[in-house]
Order: sequence, then structure tokens, then C-alpha cells
Amino acid sequence: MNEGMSSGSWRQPSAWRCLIAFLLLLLVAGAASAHGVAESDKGFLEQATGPQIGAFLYLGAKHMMTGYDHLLFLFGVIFFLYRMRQVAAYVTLFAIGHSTTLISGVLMGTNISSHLVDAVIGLSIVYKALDNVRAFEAWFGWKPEPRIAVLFFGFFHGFGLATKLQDLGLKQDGLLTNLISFNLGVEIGQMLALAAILIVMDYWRQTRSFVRNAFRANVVLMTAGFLLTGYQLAGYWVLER
Amino acid sequence: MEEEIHAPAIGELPNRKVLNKATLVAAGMAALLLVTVVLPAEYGIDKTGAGRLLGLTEMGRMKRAAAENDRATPPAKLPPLDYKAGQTGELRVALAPGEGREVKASMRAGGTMRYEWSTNDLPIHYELHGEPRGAAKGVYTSYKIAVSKGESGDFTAPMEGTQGWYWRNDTPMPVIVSVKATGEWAKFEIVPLKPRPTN
Repeated sequence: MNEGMSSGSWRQPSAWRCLIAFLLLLLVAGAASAHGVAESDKGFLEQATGPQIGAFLYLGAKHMMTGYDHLLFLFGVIFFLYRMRQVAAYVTLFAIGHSTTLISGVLMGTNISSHLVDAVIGLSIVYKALDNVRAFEAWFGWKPEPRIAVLFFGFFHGFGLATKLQDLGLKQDGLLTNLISFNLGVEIGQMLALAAILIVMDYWRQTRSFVRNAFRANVVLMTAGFLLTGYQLAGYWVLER
Repeated sequence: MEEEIHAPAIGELPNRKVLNKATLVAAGMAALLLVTVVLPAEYGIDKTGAGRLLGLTEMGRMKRAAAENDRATPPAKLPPLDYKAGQTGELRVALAPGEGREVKASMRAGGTMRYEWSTNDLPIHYELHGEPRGAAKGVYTSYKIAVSKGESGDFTAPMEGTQGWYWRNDTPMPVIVSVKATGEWAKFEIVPLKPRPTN
């Protein structure tokens, strides 16, 4: 990918370093609420009738910027994307994916367990981390086409949103306008989150630490993905079964 | 315990041994955190006792109880109501200027009612809405908001609870609303005065 980079001899990510890095990550993400919509916003959504463009734009953007599962996935997706054009292509695919299932899911009243959808979202993070370290090629000599994978997981991220919005009992009055506003808000939030991640990544990529830690960072990302998956599966087991 | 291993460079195909070990470390770390931290803190499941040690299990139990409570709709405590089909109700509500009142039927989910209401030829603001049985104060679902001199139709309750109208007289004249309904309900009544400032 980048021939200029030397192949350093790294330490295998030690358990302790991973743990420390991961706990730091959790602290940062701790401020972010999981995938759900915050309680105070829930009250508003239950009461709101008619088109509320501004409010739903805001809620969509907020959801994206405070949902650490989306952020972790985006972080994984752009980890090795250097060119703005590539970033734009992937983000567009992801947006097409989640818009499709968000809008059609709510309009058709599709309701899948949010725990199961979130478990798949956790797996999407594991997938991206493995893809970043070329694990599939090393294991199977073949890897899933990353563009299709991003689109595919985009569908699940959208299903997650659709299920949660429906749990809040949206009104028929102004539904489509509100849905499109929410979805646009999600795109805006995604762009803002992406801009922040890209700035940090750009800076990090220029340091030697990136070369030394790229592999390790993806192992940590994978850990977070596994943990999210386990957390959501346990939630399904405990609360929904 | 730290081993020096030649880890893959960026973009280089990783050695399978390194990769397998890294994946196992990731999965193992996730499992460890799940069992010792996340499960106690989120669901009160504490197989190892680590959650109690870290002071997380009690929080998890409370969260879980709250989540289970939310899911149980309607709450089991509410006694069953005696919903009877083929009932008829007729009510009249007099509203002074600025006054608002509600007429509500206690219906089961899926219960139906045919209704007809009209005013003394004055337009009135109304909201057809329902409150799920046992819901917290102020929780309701709106079906229709409009201004009209009367309306008739068929209504099917989407959930168990009180279903009906809120009328508010925005005119400077007294308005009289007459409602007639037939259908299935446990109770059909004028709700005691309680203004709804949200509308």
C-alpha cells in the first residue's frame, strides 16, 4: 500500500497494552451513549406530531456523533484510506446502505430485535479490523470485496436506526418528512464525525507511531467489536428471549 | 510474558501465527471484559464476583429491572377490565370560551367504536388521541388534530387504554359538543377537568 514505510519488528500486542488502550477508548466513548436515542429525546419523539425538520435533523446528527458503534466502524473503514476520493466513495456506499433500510424499515414497519442488529454492528467492527490487517487473505487467500461489505453493513446500521425510531412510536403525521430529515441529519453527523476522525488520523499517520501501532490499533478495534457483540447478544439473551 | 514477534508491516500479509494469536487475544480480552465488567454493570450477571468487587453488579441489577419493567406492557399489576361489545354512549360537553375537556372510552387493543360528534355550529379545536393503559402521566399518542364543527367515523384502538377526544373552545362563544358512540368499551365518560397546555 505504501512502499515508503519500513516493516518494523513489532511486539505482539501485549495483553496489558491492549487493555490500557481499550480502557482509554471506553473512557472517551463513555460520554457517548450507545446506539440508542437518549431518554430526554425520547420524550420529545413521543410527543412530536407533524413535520419537525430541524428537530429531526438535529437528532439524526446527534445520534451519529454520539453513537460509538458507528464511530468505531467509521474509524475502521477509513483507517487505511488516504485519498479523499476513496473516503468519499466508501462513505457514500455506507450512506446508501443505511438510508435504504432506515427509510424502508420504518415505512414498512419492519421490526427486528435491536439487540441482534447491534450484535451484527459489533461484528461489522470485527470484520473491518480483520480486513485492515489483511486477515482474510492470510487465512483464506481471498477477501470479501470491501465496497460490498461496507454497503452490506450499512444496511444493518440502518436497520438498527429504523428499529429504534419505531420503538419510540413515531406519528403518521409528517412521518416521511421527519424520516428524511433524520436521515439527512445522520449524514451531516457522519460528515462531522468523519472530519474529526480524519484530522486525528492524518496527524497520526505522519508519525512513526502509526507504523508501529497500526496492527495493534486494529487488534484493539477488533476487541471492541467482539465486546460490543457479546454485550448485545447478552442483552438479547437476558431481556428478549 | 511479552514476546518479540515480527509483526506485519502496514499492507503486508500477516503471518498466520501472529494473526491467530492477535485474534485470540482480542476475543479473549473481549470475553474477559464482558464477564467481569460489562455483564455485571449492564445486566447484573456476575458469575465471577468481579462485578461485586468493582461495585458494578447492583447498578446492573437496577438497569435490568428497569429494562424488564419497560418491556412488560401493560404492567402485570393492572386488573383486567370488563370490555363489553355493543354498547352505546351519548354525552354532551359545554365549553366556555378558552375551556377544554375530554371524552374518553376505555378500550382494549383492537376494540372498535363508531362515533359521531358535532357542535352547535361553531368550529372547535380537537385532538383525537389515546393513552396506553398504565402509562405515565402525559404520555399519549395523537391520531388527529384539527378544527371542525363535527366529525364521524370508525375507530380501532391501537393499544389498550383510554381513547377519545380533547376539545378546546377557541371561540368567544360557548360551544356545546354532542357525542354519540357505539362500540366495545369498559367505560365511556367525560374526563374530569384537566387542561392540556401542550396544545
